[in-house]
Amino acid sequence: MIPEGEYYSRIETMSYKELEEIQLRKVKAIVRYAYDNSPFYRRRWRAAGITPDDINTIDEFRRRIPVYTKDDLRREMAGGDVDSLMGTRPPVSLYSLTSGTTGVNTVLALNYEFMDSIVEDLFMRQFWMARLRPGMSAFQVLAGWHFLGLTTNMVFSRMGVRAIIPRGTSIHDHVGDFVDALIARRPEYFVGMPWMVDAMVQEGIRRGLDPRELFRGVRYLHLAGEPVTPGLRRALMDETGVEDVFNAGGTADGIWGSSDCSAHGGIHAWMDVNLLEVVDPRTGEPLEYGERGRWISTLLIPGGPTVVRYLGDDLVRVEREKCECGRTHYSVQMYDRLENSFQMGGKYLTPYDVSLVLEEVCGHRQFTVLNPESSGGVIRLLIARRGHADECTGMSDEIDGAFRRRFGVGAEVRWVDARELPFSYRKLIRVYRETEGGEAA
Amino acid sequence: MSDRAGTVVQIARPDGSAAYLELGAGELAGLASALEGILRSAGLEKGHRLLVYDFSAAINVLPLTRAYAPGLQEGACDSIGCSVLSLDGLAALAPRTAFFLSLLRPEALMIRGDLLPPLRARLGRDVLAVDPNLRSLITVTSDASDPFGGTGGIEGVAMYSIYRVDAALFMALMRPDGRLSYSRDLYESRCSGGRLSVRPSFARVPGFVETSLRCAGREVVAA
Repeated sequence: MIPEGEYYSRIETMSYKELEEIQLRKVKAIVRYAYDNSPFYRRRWRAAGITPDDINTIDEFRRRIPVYTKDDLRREMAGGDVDSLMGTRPPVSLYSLTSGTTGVNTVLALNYEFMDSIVEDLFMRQFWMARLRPGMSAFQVLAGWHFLGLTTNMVFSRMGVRAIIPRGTSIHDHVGDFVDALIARRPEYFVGMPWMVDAMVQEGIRRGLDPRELFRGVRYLHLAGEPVTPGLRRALMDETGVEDVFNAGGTADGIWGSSDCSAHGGIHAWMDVNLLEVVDPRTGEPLEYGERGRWISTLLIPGGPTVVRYLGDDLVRVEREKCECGRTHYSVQMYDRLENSFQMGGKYLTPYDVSLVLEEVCGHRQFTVLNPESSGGVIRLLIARRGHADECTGMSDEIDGAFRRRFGVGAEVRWVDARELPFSYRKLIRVYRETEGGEAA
Repeated sequence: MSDRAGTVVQIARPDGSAAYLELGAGELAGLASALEGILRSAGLEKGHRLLVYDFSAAINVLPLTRAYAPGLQEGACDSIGCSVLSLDGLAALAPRTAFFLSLLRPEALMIRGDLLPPLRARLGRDVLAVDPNLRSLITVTSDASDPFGGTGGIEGVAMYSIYRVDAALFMALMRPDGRLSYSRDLYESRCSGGRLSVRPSFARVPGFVETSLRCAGREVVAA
């Protein structure tokens, strides 16, 4: 049943008391489910002397259930039955992978009972919040291996959306096909990644097309894969003429995620679907809501791949305050992967922080941080010029000053063409370390 | 599922320009049915795993499961009861495909013909010898003259090829001995000038589309 109002489900505005009751009930159920159905958890918890009967409060859950990481998953995956390892109920119908950004991809074994549940409880709410509506047409590059790609397809089916699917896959070699499809079919909605929009704009300009003409008809961008800063959102809206840009985030390993709402105060992860915790990246000690740290996810939907206290690789800030959109639930600010963070002036910084400072001075720019651990206490930046007469190239001192004010450390700036920035297979390398190999400009 | 859902997929014309196939529930169901017949003939059974090394937007991949194609009620694998993992059809991702061949040990591998050489190079031996669990190798081609990409047979592994004509939503199963089969219920065909032309009965397509298959009366063979 598709709703007509602002919210997809009444649960989106539920009180914290009600949500906490739901969380406790579901946590106890998922712990029992994991113990009974997943050899991975049963083995680990038995070794720690824990049974489901020991977990009666959220506090006990946090203190007693051990966390695990992607490395644990990779080890177990290599030697076990992928279908049953994480407790997926048979029959398994399809598999998805994580992106493999940090090494070997890990696998999720999926069944339709689980997929239908999570699409209804998580992804339909996400896309509804991000203004997708029945009868729309939506651009999306298919990736049959990607969890978000699969669930997006199922949202389209359920909501009544016509998908515009270009050939190929989401790499630069196919950007010309994406542009052809956008021009030929004029979708109202666009699901993709920020780099895709940028590359399509550049391809459009190469063909003599103004970006607003290229994106004519598209009302909303729904972008995942990297955090969308306020400056990037403004730049994308100005450049393409869309009504709004929504930032989707989360992870496949931890099976949590969503998008932000029109207030853009963070990604609204659903408290009845996930229990999110945040811990200090150095000590693993729990942090309060509002503090920056590593996330731990527990998925509260049984039957599929079970996630109980998975320690993720990203730096986030999780707020638990009612949003101006009226939704309760978490608001998550994703900063970047831990490996993309660096310490300066006693703080953990990420490219997101660097972006915010640059945006104060210049508006959104693409950039790479160079060798932060050996840059002598300054932030060394390669920043891409915008066009041939970028006025900001004369403002390196102002950028340095802004960094000193914000973080207590200066910035050394080198201006380059965008193509001189270091790229990996799919995306811009935002923090470049010489040990990674390759060449920076 | 909403009846408004559907998929518009971009395909390449023979001259390389783009064309678009409008696939509503009926067209997607027809494609899934054609593919189901092919996969069953290639030995896929309930409980089997299928690994796909091709782009997910290809018409031989889209109808595999309802999670791949918006508007599809039930995919070919959904009907059979097999499970599927589709990997991107990029030559550079041969290492990933090799890894998942060894991890998942699928009973069948569906692979676009031009991706056989990079995968074989990655494996360092014949692709078919990768795992004794592998029973069927299904290459995919739009060129009926070279359906198996020069791959030799190996004892215990059956070879098949899907011959595909996107503009006609046409898929046929080819065997190494030259036998070819496709659903006469799903496709109308006619033999003209020694070439087979087809059109789907489950979709509105402007006319018959000529294939590279040779024919003589009702007898059809690969080119």
